[in-house]
Order: sequence, then C-alpha cells, then structure tokens
Amino acid sequence: MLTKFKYIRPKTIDEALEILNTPENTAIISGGTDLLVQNRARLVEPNTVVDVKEIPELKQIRETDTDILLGSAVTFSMIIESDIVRKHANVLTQAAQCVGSPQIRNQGTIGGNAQTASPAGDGLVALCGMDAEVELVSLSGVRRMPVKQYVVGPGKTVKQHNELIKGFIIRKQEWDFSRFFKVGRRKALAISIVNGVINLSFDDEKNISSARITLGAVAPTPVQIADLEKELIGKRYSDELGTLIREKVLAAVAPISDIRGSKEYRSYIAAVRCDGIIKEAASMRGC
Amino acid sequence: MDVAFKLNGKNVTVEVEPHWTLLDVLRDKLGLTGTKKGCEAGECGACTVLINNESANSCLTLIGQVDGKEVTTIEGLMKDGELDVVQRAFAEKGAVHCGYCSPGMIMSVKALLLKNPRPTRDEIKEAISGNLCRCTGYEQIIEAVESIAEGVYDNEECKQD
Repeated sequence: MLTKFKYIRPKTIDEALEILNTPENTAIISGGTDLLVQNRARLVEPNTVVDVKEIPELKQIRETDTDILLGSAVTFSMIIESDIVRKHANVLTQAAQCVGSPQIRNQGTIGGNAQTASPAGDGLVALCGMDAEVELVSLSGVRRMPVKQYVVGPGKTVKQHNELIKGFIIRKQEWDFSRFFKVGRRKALAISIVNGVINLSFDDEKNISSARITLGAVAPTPVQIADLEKELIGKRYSDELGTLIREKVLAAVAPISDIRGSKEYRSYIAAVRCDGIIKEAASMRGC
Repeated sequence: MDVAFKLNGKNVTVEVEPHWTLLDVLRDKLGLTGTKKGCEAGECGACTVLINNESANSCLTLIGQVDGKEVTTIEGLMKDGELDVVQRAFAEKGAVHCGYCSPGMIMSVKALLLKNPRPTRDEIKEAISGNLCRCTGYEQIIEAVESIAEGVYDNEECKQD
C-alpha cells in the first residue's frame, strides 16, 4: 500500500518550481519506478507528489555543436532510441540498455536515476563516466555542476528541496573506445554488483593517449580511478600493464558487502573487468 | 479527484484517490482483474499493461499519470469475440501453465509485436525479460511468439478452432 498523498501534475517548469517552493513535504515523481517502491517500504512519505514527467521541456534530447542536452524526464527507452545519444554519448546508450526491464526502461527516467543516487545506478555511473554536468533550477535561479559533485553519498545529492533537475549537459564524446559494463546476477532487473565506464583514446603508435575510468557500486558514489588513468598514458597493453591495472583498481575501490556481493568479490571483479576491457580495447587497435 | 483516460478503446472517467495506482484502479475500482498483482516493485511484470502502446508496470504508475492517455489491458485484446493472435498462440503452444504471469506476459509480447512484427528469438527474450514465469521455463512462451513471427497466423485459414 502506498501512503496517502496529494498528486499534482504541473504543465511547465515554472509551475513545478512554484509548487516545490513551499515548506510542504513534497516529492518529485517522474517514472515512479523508484519513488513508489520507496514509498511502499516507507522510506519516503511525502504529503504531495509532484509529477514532472509530462513537462515538454524535460522530455527533450537536443544537440549543439559541442554538447548533448538531455532533459531530466527522458526515459531510458527514449535514450536507447536516440540517434544523437548513440552517436555522441554511446556509453549512455549502452547503460540504458542494461537498466531494469522493457517496462522499467519505458517508465524510468535519467533524472530519476540521478536523483535516486544509488552508487550502483547505471545511468548515473554513465553520466559520471562522461563527465556530464547537471542543471538544477529553482525560483532563485540556475545551478550547474559536474554530476560527480552532485552526488555526495548513497541516496544523497546536493539538490535542495525547492530545486528541480532540468537536465544534463554531456560534451560530445570523442574517445576511440567507450564501454559501459555491468556485472549483475542476471541480465534483466539486476542491480549492478559492479558497473563502470572505460573511455580510452590511442595515439598513432597505438599507445594509450588518454583515459577516463569510472566505477560504480565500489564506493558510496561513482568514483573516477585517476591513479590508473595516469598510469595508462603513453603505454601499450602488456601483461605487466594488466597486473598494474588490477593493482590500481584494487587500491582505489572501497566497496561494501551486501546481499548482491561481498566487498572482496566486488573489488576482484572490478579489477578483472577493467583489465579485460582495456586489453580488449588494445587488441581492437591491433596491439 | 477525477481522472479521464481511454481504456481498451473507450473513454472512461474515474473518481479516485491520488495515491492509488493504475493497478489498484483497474482491479478494485473497475473490476478488470485480468491484470495481476505480483511483487509491487516492478520485478515480476504480472501487472504489465500498455500505456500509449508501450509496456508499463501498472503497480509503478500512479493513476493520475495516465490522465489523457490510452491504456490497454488483457481484457482489451479480444476483438469481436475473437482472441488476439498472441492469446491464440499462447493457448495453442501450451505457453500457459498456472496462468498467473500470462496476462502480463501477453501484454509485453503485444508491445513487442506492435513495434516489431517479426522479432528474432533474442528480441523475444529481451521483450519478456521483465516478466517472471515460474512454470514454463519460458520455452513454450518463446515458441508461441516465434510462431507468430513466422507468420503462422497471417493467413486466417491457418487459424485453429
């Protein structure tokens, strides 16, 4: 059973912000795939639910010369079908395909995934892995920051009660190799035991020229493995580098044990997957 | 509050409490008990319906969210006293054992076929990945959808009584 609450469906962002700008206990609903589950578990008990899913501005995927602008109420199914996203932010296409089930992908939204701020959120880790920014709006104005700074802990973000996630700004990605990976108990409806994004570029000598490695579910928030990124620059894949990759990942992660996996398993599988994917990327470049 | 939407092709207006889900309203208010209540967490797919021709878990949909939309339930598939092609295929291939997952499973298949009338085996498996079945092992369900994809039901003469 859901708790009793009022339901309001504003038609515009301004209308939504007026409603959110009250001391009342409001909750924003978009897809509902997290909020209603949390409410049934009595983790969230709002007096008023504000439905932002039908606000046209929040449902758009647009591009500029340099960026993709993704509205917060864009569903995972819309992401999968978007040519713009597939071409310029392929990691997000890959991540969206791993989310839940067809039903969940039809309902769940990227903004909701970021707001739930699960350390294992597939959409959230993809956004962090692409250095995406989030745009928050309130009656007092607009704030923009990296998604990595937006998330501060499991279920915790810097979003204030009167703010709404308008959308995400993703710089068009130009990596030679981009991979989202997910380790789960099964393919559908699995919450990630570990997930991550591996972005690599190579120089003419087939050495790694730049790298962005981001892992989820191995710390309270998605983490960038900067130590490993530095080590990779200017190197070609070799068995020695493989050993180093595993060591660097093991040193950087701090997972917990829960019903999905132990911290030892999480650390191990994160290290092995990073190594395996970087090796695969190198072999695709003919190394 | 009042919510107006199109249900199985007919315009309906229902007086509801805002915290009711689409599933609650279908089963308890409108008596359409074909849509099943399972896990209420989006894991089992027993409550799957179509909203604007896309599959959705009705347990995770507030009734207010379907205002102005088109909802199709298992009861809406039959046309002029004839079962829908998906229902026929399930019956003929023995894709129904206990039957609890069948309405949701059939709605997920319907959503697939509306977009993709000739799905591959992998596409079929993907489409029903949000629907749990604990009886069939899925094989007969996949076979039923494959028989539709193979065009078994395209010619009306092939239809079995």
